[in-house]
Amino acid sequence: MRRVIMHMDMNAFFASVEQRCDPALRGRPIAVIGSGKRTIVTTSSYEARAFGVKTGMNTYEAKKACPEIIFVVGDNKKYMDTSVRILEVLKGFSPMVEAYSIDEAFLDISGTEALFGGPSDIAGSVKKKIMDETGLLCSIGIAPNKLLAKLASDMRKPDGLVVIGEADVEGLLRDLPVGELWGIGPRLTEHLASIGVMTCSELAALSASLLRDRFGVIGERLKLMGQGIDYSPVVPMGNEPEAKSVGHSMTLPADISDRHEIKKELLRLSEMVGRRARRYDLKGRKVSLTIRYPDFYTFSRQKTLPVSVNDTRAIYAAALSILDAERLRTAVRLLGISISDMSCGSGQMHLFDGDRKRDEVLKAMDAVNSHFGEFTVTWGTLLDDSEADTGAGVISPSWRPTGVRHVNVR
Amino acid sequence: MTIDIKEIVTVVAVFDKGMRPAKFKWNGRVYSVKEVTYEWKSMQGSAQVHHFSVTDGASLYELSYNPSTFVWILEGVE
Repeated sequence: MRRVIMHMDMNAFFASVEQRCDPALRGRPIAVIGSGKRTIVTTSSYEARAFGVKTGMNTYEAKKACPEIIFVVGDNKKYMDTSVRILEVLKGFSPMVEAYSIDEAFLDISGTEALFGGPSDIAGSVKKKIMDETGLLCSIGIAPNKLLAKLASDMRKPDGLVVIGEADVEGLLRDLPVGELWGIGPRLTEHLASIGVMTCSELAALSASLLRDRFGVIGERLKLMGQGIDYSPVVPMGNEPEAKSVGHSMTLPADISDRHEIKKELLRLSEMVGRRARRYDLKGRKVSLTIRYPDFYTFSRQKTLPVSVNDTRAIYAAALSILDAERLRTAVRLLGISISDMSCGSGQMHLFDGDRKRDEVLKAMDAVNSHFGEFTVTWGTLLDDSEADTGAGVISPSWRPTGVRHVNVR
Repeated sequence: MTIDIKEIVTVVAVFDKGMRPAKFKWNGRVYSVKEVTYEWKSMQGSAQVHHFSVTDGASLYELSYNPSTFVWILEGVE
């Protein structure tokens, strides 16, 4: 059967949702920002992009680029629910729907022509259903594989529809800069340029062995990408590979150097990590602590534990021991904790009564928080700042609508 | 800019292929909902809360309804 892959990309997703919510924002340059003091632009409307406003700019830079810009504090719950509704629409067209990020999805629509018509017809129906359900526009790319489908959806925005057929591939890729391909970022583009590779056809012309020597295991894949070949399957929701780690990081409202304050944030992060791991019955044997200084220098240190853990206190203790071994050269801007080397299941039963009781306390806390909301019951140390941020409020690119990658951000 | 209100309000809602607020009473004044501009859901613990962005033609309001407590809250006003 001929393989037909669709890539759906919501246009300026967060900004478009806000423009739907507030009619006064429609047609105006807006930027969605976080609620923190040190926030950045997470998405801007097309009207703002016309002035050069880009994701990642701080509010000062955005205002400089577009003095008329309106800043809107984002509401992640609104975007997550909208994303879930869009995925439900997509599942009406194929059971093979991969949620790639909060605003992008791949669909394997091979063999659905008899039900929904040709690729352009299906794309038209998808666009209409998404518009009916959410009032939002999307761009759609259809091609024989994910690599080309993603390329196609990026070619026309907003509200685009591009179909790349087998016969179009060679001509399309001939002069296409390698950086346009999904998976080839600025650093790799630079590296390829250093060996004289600027276009996809130049990349395809190189020998696989040379690329392997230069780029290691991805060398062969790079050659295939240059030829527009991609065998990666659409991985439907629920069939994603097991999570290799569970982690949270937090850009602090202000740089902190006070050890006591740092410890408090580590406890909060440990609880968030432990809570999520416990919900999915996962444990990790390695605990990592990530620290970012105000100059953006970032480093991580890891500790391997004798047994796998998901107990907040065990994660916290490991993070503390890493912190205690570090001599911080300045205040910290960001803290992150993750557990990895994961295993599933409860593992060995506790031998001592004290450990069993600790588990019971955690179970009781988790049960209350599941029913009444996160941090309803929490650690005494965290009680004196109940209004504090529980995360930077940024939706991670790895966010998924279900499973352990589902994070309830503010 | 949205101003947080977070006050319980009395709402008249229409149930017809879903639910939508038609009027709400806040601080003794009745506001007629001219348009529901957007709606979404969120989880508060185990409760699924319904959120509505609504306008009376002059301002934009966010209302939320928690079906487990039957409580409507005026979350904020623009």
